[in-house]
Amino acid sequence: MDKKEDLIAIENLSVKFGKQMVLDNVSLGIKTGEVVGLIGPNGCGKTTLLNAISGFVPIEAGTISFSGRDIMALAPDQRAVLGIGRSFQHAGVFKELSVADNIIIGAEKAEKFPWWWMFVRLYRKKMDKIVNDTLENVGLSAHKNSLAGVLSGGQIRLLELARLQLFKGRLLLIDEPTAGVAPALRQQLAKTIKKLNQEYGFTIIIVEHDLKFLFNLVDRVVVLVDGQKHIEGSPEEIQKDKRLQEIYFGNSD
Amino acid sequence: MGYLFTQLARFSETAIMSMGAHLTIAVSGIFFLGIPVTFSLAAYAMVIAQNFGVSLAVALIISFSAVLIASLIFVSAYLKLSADSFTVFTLASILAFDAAVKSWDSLTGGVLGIAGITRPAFVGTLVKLALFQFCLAIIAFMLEQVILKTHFGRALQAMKENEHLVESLGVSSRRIGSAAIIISSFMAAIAGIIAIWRLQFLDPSFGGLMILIEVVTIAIVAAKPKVRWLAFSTLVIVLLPEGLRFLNLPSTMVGHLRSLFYALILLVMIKNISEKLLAKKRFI
Repeated sequence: MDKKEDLIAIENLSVKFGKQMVLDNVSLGIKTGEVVGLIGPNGCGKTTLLNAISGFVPIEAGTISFSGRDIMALAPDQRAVLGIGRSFQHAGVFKELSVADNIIIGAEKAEKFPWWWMFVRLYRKKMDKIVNDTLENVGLSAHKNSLAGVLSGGQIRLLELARLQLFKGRLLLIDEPTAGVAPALRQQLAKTIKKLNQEYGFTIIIVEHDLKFLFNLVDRVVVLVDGQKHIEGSPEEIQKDKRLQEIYFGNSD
Repeated sequence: MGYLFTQLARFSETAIMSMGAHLTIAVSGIFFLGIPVTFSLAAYAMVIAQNFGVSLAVALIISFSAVLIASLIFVSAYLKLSADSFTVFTLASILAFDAAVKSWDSLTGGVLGIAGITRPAFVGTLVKLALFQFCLAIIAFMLEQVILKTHFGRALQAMKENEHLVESLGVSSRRIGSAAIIISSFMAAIAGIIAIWRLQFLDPSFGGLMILIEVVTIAIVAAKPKVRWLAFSTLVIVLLPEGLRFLNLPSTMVGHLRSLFYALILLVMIKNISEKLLAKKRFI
């Protein structure tokens, strides 16, 4: 039996939007250091589950614990400070800020810089180094002073993941990282996500539709269907599931 | 010369007030329309306190305390209401304040107002007052420049685009928004106090919807989170309608034409830059 404690434990979670039950009695435990994929048909509640963990949707029933602590009463910013990082399905950067400012807004919080840091040379130099190193890692140094809005979809994703690297947290919730990303950039994305797990020690939950991309990354897969947990297991076990094949490949008995 | 210094004073008063509107409406997308309330409240509180015989310093403390209470009421509404309901609430507060001023005539003088307000000795003449106000305006512009460069300013700009994303970085958008509303309220309060030193007469027409139209127009025309845009926008909005004075128009028309001018500017700017100003669609 695996004795590692759950970093995040979700018990009997239900989320309702109006009369529509979007998540229905979902229970899930994620161990520290795991990379877990979350898949299922459109509208099955994958993003809602991430939103529930982040604190962006009200919970109908159930509990969510992070590192053994009940986080239900915490606001989203408080959950982020606790160590829950998030990337979003759409536009995880601020398009009206420069690429550098997009890094700075995350880094100054993560590094706990004082609010007056930009008036002190020492802090400015430190921040410049953080920004330059981060952008160099993802090949965006040339766009440092451009507005983030001019970047391509793939570059935006890379910028978002680069900012997450600076996040001093323990859990990352990544929502459809390959959406709008050219196939050529997907390998770089996969490398970055692996680095976040193996070098930076993040536990990761990924929502993704590209199963080939996902199954190369994750230790375990959870399948949601109609707001309920259908099955979970290793990528190899999941691929044999008939219902999953029906959903993704249209196979029928 | 008196006319020029009056325009300098008007520019300074409007710039200080508009800085608050710029931070809330243009930079962070919080449609806080309670600026005329704190503009007028500060002036009334100071004048009424002085009428009771207190010194200027004590009157100013009373005035800013009243503005602090008002701004905390606005913050409470901001935290509890949806964005659109908050906007309507702040708009309604202007009408509520106007009704309170007209009704409580034993204190405020009602529709007849309070006349003979004296200026402090250090700004006893129009020239000294105008120059003092201009210095305050410069300080206000520098303050906004500093704010925009700090984490607070970045968070304000980011909030306008995506509040959830800001919160996912560990930044409380509600706290940042609340701070912006309080700063905006106090900038309007300072503008109200120095304006009443210039006018030396206070009645219910001080502040109100005309002021709101003026500052919202400036904030919208400024649009970008840049101090020079704010300064230029203030200059245009304050000084351009002055051209109407030199046309041979009946005085009863000039005031209405000024309002028409602001409305036209708003329509043109909103049509052309609405996507830049309002990152999210707003329906009131």
